[in-house]
Amino acid sequence: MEQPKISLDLILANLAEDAEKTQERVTKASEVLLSPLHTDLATTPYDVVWQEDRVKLKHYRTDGEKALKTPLLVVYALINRETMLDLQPDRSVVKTFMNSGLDLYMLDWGYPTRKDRYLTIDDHVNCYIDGAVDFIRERTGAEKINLMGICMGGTFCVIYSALHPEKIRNLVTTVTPSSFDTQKGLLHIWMRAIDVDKLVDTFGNLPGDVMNMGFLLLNPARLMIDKYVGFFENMDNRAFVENFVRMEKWIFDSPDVPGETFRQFVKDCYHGNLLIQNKLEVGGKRVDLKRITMPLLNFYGKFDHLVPPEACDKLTKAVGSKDTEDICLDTGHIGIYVSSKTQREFAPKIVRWLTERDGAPAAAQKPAKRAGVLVVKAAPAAKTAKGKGKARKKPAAPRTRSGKAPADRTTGRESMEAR
Amino acid sequence: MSAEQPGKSQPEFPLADWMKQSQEFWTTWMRAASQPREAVEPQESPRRTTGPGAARGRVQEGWETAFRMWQSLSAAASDPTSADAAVKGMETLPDFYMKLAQAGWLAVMKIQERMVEKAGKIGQKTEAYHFEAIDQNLINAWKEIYEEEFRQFYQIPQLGLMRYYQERFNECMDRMNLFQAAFSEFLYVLSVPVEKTSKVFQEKLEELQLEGKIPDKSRDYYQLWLRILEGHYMTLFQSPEYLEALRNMLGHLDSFIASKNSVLQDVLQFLPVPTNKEMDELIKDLHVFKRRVRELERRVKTLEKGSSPANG
Repeated sequence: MEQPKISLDLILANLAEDAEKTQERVTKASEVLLSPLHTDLATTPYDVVWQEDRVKLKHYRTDGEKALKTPLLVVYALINRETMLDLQPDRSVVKTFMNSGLDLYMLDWGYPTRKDRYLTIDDHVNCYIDGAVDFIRERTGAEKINLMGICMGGTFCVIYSALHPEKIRNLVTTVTPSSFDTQKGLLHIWMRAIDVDKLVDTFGNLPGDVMNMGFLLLNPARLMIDKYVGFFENMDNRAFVENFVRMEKWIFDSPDVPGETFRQFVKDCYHGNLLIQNKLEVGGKRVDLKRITMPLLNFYGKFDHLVPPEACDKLTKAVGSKDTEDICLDTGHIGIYVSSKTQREFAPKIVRWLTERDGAPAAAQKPAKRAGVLVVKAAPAAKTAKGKGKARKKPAAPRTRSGKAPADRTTGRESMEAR
Repeated sequence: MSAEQPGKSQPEFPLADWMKQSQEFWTTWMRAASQPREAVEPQESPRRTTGPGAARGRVQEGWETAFRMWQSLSAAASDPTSADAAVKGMETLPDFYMKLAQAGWLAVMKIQERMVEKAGKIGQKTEAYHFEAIDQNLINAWKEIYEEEFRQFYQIPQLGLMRYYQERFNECMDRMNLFQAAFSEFLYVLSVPVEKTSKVFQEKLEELQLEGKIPDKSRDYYQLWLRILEGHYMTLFQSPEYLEALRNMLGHLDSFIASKNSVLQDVLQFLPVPTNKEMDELIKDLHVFKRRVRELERRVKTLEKGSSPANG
């Protein structure tokens, strides 16, 4: 059998062309890298309106009337920082919320130090979150507020809503682990393998760098090689470089996690899977998910390697609420907030859903008067499913040839889909 | 006591001659030094307990005590039995150093042996996407040698006032070595997918070549290599071998940091700064107080609400 010929001349010609292009790119890149770059994160203006220890409550400034009468409190995870929701002006969940007329508050957990090592989940939920919720209720006169949680912050919000249902009107959970008995996510597998007692006893707080190293190891081929190859290929593109640097800033801005909180979270959740079984105890009280009777919107990512869908999709079945909705987006753990595709689906959906459930006469139902402010009209209510009346929306997920989540290559964010 | 056997000479302490000579020298010197005082001060006069004369007397007494000790020591050293013991003791020192050197040499030889073995394995079939039999011979070689040959030196019982400090320092060194071995093992496990990927990549290229589909752009080669590498890592990260290496590395890291902190704690105790241990105790107390205050605040608020006029 004749062996097909290799077009060696073509390969060599392409290599020569590549070398030429690289030289040109590097020349341009030096101009870009040596000039001033705009890489600031979280530029939407806000005021710190409440503070307890290291924890601050941000209130985003609005100049017009509020479309919803119920304020929204966003609780981020203790891992990484809430600046991810306001990464850059054109991809900012915060901006979308603001433009929709939400009265937005966000909890900034700050940077835990050695003095925070003994703080438990109880302190975070029943002191900090509860303190912020009470402050907002008092400040706005609202009897109940809307609560939105992200990842571990979502788990805290679930716990809080079960312990203090009288203070929460609507609950939104995003990439929130609630059921930990799955072998799908690497994090779930690894968390079972580690000796958390030894780790916490040694370090006090879990160092952010240790966690970041763990996250990089989730997919070293993409996160430690391909990501930087992508940067090298686009480093003559100013917008790309600025976005890339913003993302790098966010990724490696990793506060330590208070030791006792980490210990409890790993033992009670990853090892014991107590939350979904209504066996978790926080502050001496059992967390009964059936007490979550307020409407619940639950988002998760189909390609989330950190918190896989299996860890998220059981929550709506476990709560006592009859108004629940699951939304599985075709993206990863971070892409849900920052990819251009989900920017159009994620935040606007939350605004619509909250508007529908804002209760009494709201500014949302009035026509927008302010210039440049989008007032989202209430969409038809979600259909209730049979039996418990759950509305579920799980769109079919188109996949790329490589089997990965489709993402925006121009910003190099595809690599971050692994997180 | 055994009598000296005829025909068998006693071992002579190597420094006996020098000790004898120095003893004679210091005896002469001491006599000369004490003479003027005896000439000036009559024997029957009471000894002065204060003033410069008394100070000189204490110095001289000190000299005399030291001299008598030296006399006793040199006499003991000149004793054939003691000399025998001392010589034997000194003979063991080279033995000790020899053992240490032997252990080091053995380690080098064993590592070299493993390297040769490993070199012989190059070219053998690499099982793609399987990590059950990760070849860790080289890493294990150092680990075994350290545990068998070197570790015992750090476990020699320590004596005296500083024994606990020395023990903690030795423990820290021991744990650092164990961590380094575990870390090397972990890094090796992480490097295995790269090795396997090269092999699979080569096979893929051969396949593509046979099919006449060989890529002509460097980016396509890179993407192919990256996909294979990613696949290998995904398989590795779920394997029990990786989990064991991770657990082992983290366990040794924890142990090393804990023992390093103990040594630092010892050092910090000598400085006018609070140690981490002390700060942690204080922080814990504050934490407990804050919780109590918060709980009391809640109760007060509840009581206030209950006793407000609106509630009757």
